[in-house]
Amino acid sequence: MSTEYYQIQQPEDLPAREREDAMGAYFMMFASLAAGLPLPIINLIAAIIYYHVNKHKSRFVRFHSLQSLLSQLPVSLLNAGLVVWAISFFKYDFNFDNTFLAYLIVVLMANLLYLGFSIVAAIKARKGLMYYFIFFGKLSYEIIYKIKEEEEHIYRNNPPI
Amino acid sequence: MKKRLWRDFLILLVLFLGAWIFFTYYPVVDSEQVKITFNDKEKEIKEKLIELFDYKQADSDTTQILRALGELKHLLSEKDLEYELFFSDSKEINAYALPGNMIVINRGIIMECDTPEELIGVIAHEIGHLKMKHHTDQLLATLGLELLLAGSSSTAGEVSKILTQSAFSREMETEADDFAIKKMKELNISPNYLAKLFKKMYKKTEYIPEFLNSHPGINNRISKFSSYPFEESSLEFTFDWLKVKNSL
Repeated sequence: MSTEYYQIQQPEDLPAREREDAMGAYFMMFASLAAGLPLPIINLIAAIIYYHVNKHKSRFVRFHSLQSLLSQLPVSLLNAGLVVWAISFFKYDFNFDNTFLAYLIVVLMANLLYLGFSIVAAIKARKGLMYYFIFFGKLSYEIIYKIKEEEEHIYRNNPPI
Repeated sequence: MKKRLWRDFLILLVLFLGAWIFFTYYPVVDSEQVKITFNDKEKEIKEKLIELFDYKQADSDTTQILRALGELKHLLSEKDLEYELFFSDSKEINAYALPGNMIVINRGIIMECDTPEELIGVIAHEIGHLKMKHHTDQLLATLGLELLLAGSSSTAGEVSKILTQSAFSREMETEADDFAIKKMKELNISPNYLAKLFKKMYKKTEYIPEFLNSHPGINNRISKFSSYPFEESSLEFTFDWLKVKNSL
């Protein structure tokens, strides 16, 4: 059984407004800076809101919004883990070791990679192009573009039995 | 597609764990070096505080009060806590715990204590704050995560202001009180000594003293300490408390 997918829109079919909306999804990462707080969770909340606001727009916008949201989840979790770990040093013993420092470096790298890829994706989206992140790109494509069986099914209202 | 999704997921997981393990065994910065830097920073903040408020360290033989405080400190030594006791020439009736395991006793509260046992209760209460790392919670609650991220020594003034002026939560005060009771019992001192001190402070001043201000319902607190029968302490000191007070 072959899986059916909706057709991907081409740059010439996408109005400027939609391209800007798609680009906006990636700029949600700056939301926490705007809020003036170093809390990673603000980014995530902003991305979730943005995804819901754009839920009824074209698949192109939804794809970019979802990709931005999904790719933010692990980064936010890693950041939250770092904050909790750091606080535990102050609350409990200052048991600072290389495992923590290595985690700090990996989290920093993850943030930088996320930032870099998001900027590239935002530029591509502005040009009306698709851009697939590793894993998150495929996952978003699967969720947004896959034709679900129930969508084809027409529901009928029936009287009570 | 599902297979490719799993493949991508595994690639990310392996990259993450691989990088973490790699940097653990081949560290870019050595954690021991970071620890030294952190300890230096803490020392620096401590020195700034001492300079800013002109705290005098107990244990030094220069004055009667510092000698007396040194003796009380040795009496209240804790196995798992190295702390430093300081005297501040402030008439404010107050005593407080600061980060870097510092306890500061103001002249004001010493003058209120009729016996050294009362002061022992006050110090034990502050040790309770240190042992339970309350100042960390307080700082985090006041400054938020910015302190963790920025933590510059230039903020020492601001930090010290918060630490000396803002209050611990009721829960923290209750915990510190419980610790003081435990410690006083260990030394065969009736916790009622503290109740006596609080009553005096409450009666004497029209306003609520700073030391009691932040604490859980003053009346509750007095009755908590009063519930222990008063027994004269048999502790002996090398100093004469009255003389020490007169020297101030």
